[in-house]
Amino acid sequence: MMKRREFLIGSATALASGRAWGKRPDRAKLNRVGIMTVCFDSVLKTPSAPPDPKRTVEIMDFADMIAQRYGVHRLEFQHTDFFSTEPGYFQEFRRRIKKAKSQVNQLSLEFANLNISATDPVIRLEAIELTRSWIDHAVELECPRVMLNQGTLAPEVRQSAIETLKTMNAYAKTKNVFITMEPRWREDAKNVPWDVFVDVIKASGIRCNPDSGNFPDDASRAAALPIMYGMTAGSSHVKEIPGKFRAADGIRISKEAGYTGFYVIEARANNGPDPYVAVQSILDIMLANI
Amino acid sequence: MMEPPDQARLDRIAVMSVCFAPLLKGTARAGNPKATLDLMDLAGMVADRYGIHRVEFQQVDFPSADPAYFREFRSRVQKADSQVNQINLDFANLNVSSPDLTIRLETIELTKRWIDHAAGLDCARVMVSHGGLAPAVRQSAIETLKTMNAYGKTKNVSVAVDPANAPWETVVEVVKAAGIGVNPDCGNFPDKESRAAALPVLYRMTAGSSRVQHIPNKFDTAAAIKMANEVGYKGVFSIETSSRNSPDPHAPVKAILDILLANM
Repeated sequence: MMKRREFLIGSATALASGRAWGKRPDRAKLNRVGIMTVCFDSVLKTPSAPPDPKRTVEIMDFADMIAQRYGVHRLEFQHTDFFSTEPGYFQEFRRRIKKAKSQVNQLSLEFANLNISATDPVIRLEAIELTRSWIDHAVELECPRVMLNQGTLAPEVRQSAIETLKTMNAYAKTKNVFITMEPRWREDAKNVPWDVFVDVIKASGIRCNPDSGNFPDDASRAAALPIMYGMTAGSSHVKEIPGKFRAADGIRISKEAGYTGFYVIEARANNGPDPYVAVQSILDIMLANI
Repeated sequence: MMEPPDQARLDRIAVMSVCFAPLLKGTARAGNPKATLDLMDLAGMVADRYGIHRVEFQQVDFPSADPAYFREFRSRVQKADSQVNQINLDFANLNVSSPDLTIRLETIELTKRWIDHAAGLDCARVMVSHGGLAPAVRQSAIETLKTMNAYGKTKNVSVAVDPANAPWETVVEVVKAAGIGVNPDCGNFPDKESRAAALPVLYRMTAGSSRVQHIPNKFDTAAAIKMANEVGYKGVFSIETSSRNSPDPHAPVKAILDILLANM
């Protein structure tokens, strides 16, 4: 359960942002906003995090906390957030989500050492099997999307990666769950060009999860996002990267592309040390620009 | 005239796919380009050649985990009047001894998938890798095995572990605590003393199957089978050879089969 102190901090944040003095946030706009658990990496209790008094948020309480603090009822989880995959655990989890009148927007799957770009067919089969399990869990949680990590998509594995995605997608369709991937870019990594990424999505029949922050420069972002916003499963990620990229620009591009889906907030350490404030700041940008 | 082998004894014998690794094609990793035996035909070949109707597979043998593939595979096994004795699961980087809960959960999830596949193939057992069972992770490994076993029970599929790569007493302790079975392998001991001490205990804790290897310079296979007999073991003996035994994969299988038929 959320502690009273956290609630008061949240109220103070709302006051500081000016929301408490102005008109109530537009419910229709809030309904298009989601929040990722990764925003709260520093305070969330997760299976991989050692016990730490700074970690005060239980995954079971996450939906309540987000609904009360921000009025947001869409949530996005990493598969690594969950402490169990047993039916009883997911039943209780689903009950807590419903209690907060919320919905699981997407599950992000980041399997250790298993992804569609593996050169070993056995590893790709394990990735398929584990993805199928999580598609089943998505169904248990009434979640319409799972997002995969595409790995390298290097030329020599690209075709087998596409076939692997097709197999996963065929299963997902039987469960009314979308499979998505997001463009990824890191300075220290071998990155897949965005147009290659788009080709893989088209060839495999899956969907794109545009992430406005994951581009090396404005030119590639401006070229890619209009295409990607036309290939979604109804959801996207929004980042604000000070000095590099403004979330408002990404939202503008999406609107120009006719996107009417969800915007899910992905705040990171570069948005400030307090995750609650960081999320609020991006939420304010979104409410002003959606 | 030679007497035909005793069918009751043959019915207690299985052959592992690894025995024929150099000949197998149609597997996930494709294998030798000169391979001649399709994985789909393995049960038929083992039945025709040896009169054995139990075949044991590795999960990494299968090139697909799609229902249609397994339906066809099952029909080919049934056509040979055979049965899948056990599927051995050895997931890349995943096992019950991981200190990371997320990895253990992924191991559980994949094991459940393969328990479902085993049930679909009318296979009564899966064997999982125990991953070392170091003291620091032993209790969480036991809990992980319990979770797998609880699911296995709902599908009438037993979960077993191989006593290799950990002190056998530790494996016994973990198997008892988790309520699973052990898959004794007479070849997987460092010395005669540990084999003699362990096998009588292990043969009483099986999920109905065990492994038989033949490594003449290391141990006496016939003596190991006699140990199983002495403790009243009534389960399956599954033949395990490797390419190190002979350039012809059939010869070492036949050698172990002859030892089994003479000593069961």
